[in-house]
Amino acid sequence: MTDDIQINGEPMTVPTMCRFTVDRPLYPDQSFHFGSSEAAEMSPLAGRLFAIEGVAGVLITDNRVTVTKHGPATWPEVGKQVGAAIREHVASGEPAVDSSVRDSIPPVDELRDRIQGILDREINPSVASHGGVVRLLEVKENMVYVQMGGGCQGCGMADVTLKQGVEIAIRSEIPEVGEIMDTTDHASGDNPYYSPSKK
Amino acid sequence: MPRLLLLLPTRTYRTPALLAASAGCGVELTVASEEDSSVAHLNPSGFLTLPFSDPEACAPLVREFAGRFPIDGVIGIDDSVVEAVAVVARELGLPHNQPDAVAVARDKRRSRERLVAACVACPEFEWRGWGDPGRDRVPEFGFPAVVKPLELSASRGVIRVDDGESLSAAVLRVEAIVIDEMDSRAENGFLIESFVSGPEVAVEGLLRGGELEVLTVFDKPDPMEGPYFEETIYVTPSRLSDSQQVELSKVSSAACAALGLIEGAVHIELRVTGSGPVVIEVNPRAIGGLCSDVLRFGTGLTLEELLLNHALGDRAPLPDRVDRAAGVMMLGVEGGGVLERVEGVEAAEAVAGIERVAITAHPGQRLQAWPEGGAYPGFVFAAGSTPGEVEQSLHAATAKLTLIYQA
Repeated sequence: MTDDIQINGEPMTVPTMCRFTVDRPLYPDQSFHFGSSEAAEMSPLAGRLFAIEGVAGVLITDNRVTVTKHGPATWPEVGKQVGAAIREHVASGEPAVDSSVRDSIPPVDELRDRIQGILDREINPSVASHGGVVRLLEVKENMVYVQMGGGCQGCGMADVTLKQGVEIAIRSEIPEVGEIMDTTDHASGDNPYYSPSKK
Repeated sequence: MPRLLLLLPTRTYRTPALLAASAGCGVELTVASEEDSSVAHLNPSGFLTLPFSDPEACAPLVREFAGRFPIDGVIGIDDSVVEAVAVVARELGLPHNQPDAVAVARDKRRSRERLVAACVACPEFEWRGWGDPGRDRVPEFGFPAVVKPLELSASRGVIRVDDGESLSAAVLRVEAIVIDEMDSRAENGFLIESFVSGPEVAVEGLLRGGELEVLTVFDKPDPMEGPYFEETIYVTPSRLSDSQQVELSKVSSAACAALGLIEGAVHIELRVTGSGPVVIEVNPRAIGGLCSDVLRFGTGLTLEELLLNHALGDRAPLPDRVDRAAGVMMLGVEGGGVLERVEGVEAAEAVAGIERVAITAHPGQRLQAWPEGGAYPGFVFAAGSTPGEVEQSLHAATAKLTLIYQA
């Protein structure tokens, strides 16, 4: 029976993303990000979700599925289809992510050391010149969680620094890295540059 | 893969939306800003430093960069970069407005003069120099009138006056605002113009080869009678009649032509009067703040995606706006001070029709009320089956929000 599966959808601050929490593990203690339907070939669950019109990204983490969508459909509309896909997946008994995907990822300790090395060697000495710092908080599977501090926290250009600088430096050296998540609370930063204005 | 040059001032709301749009369009991205990036060495083709405040000085820097990394399109949609975008486009031979046209559009005196010369309806106006001993004399067109700086945006320094006494006080106040903002009397005078009564609307458009395509018309249903003119609600679709909207489109097109604007985003503000639309401002950029999030086109394209595609040369027929009523409330400052927190966000988000509440001010930020201020502390977004429903949701949600300032 899949009707008794409880799924709670929670819209995120980025309006194109919604997190669905399931009452049971889907990918226990692991996570993987799929940025396209092609990348999802090795994930039965992500494959089902990419079949929904508008779905553009899927992050599977333990008992949570974060879906990124494009298109005019509202989250209540997409959410029903996401819920149905998750229930169908659970009923199938298939793994959320094929084990071969996991095998391609370097061990977490190795990933952590290599990423920390890039931050120490290539990024933080430069970012420090603007009073900032990028900290590695955690590596889970191939998911990387960073936090921006000092002058970076709340800076209007923090996204650019992350996407155009930090991500490119890490991915060029370690292509197996999945999503790089900025966990910074930019709203409580010093906002050295950011200055809301204009309608 | 085409390369897009994105001009992003460091003080902008727009970074996430533009980066997301760039990712969605599948382009190589170069971000130009007025400050050096601390990580530019990690991605030499990804960063460029340009002096936005001196647009012509951007030209040789872009020429040199494009020699190493060819650029296929350029875009920048904040006020502070629009002149630099025009210079860069000219330098690279990309279709865009001429820099002179953009400079005129940004100067309220020169743009009024062009509109009058082209017989486009706009407020009557007089220009007064700051050093003019008679700078606060009663205007020939009488009262009510509006005192307005030449280049500030977001209605900063715009004050309605109803008599000689309030005019004198407003001129002093606007002068102080301009000096504070510009660090000098860079603006050597100000406008006093006739107050145009009537509902205000905003036309969001895209110019393609001199033809204006109206993307949407926003109603501003809250009365804007002054004395200050901070924004509140933008809601679309407009409740004006079809014939009124056709008139708005015609007048907006004529205004763009009068200023020499031919390519790219425009945000035009008008008042609807008994004798037709009156142009208040023509901005050679897209709608600002986070407000563009109200709009979706075709299969869900954002306004930024539409503009990026245009910058990259896409001239396919534009998709229609997604057919739904939607709106945004720009939060007021409510007195001002040093912000401690905003209360009621969850309650506001729980109001029917509310899609999200985005607080953009941060704790510790000093917020000033209009006319000195120009920063909205946040935005509330709503959708519904009718514009009236959206408007109600926005008012109900906003009533639940309270800005708490440090004692």
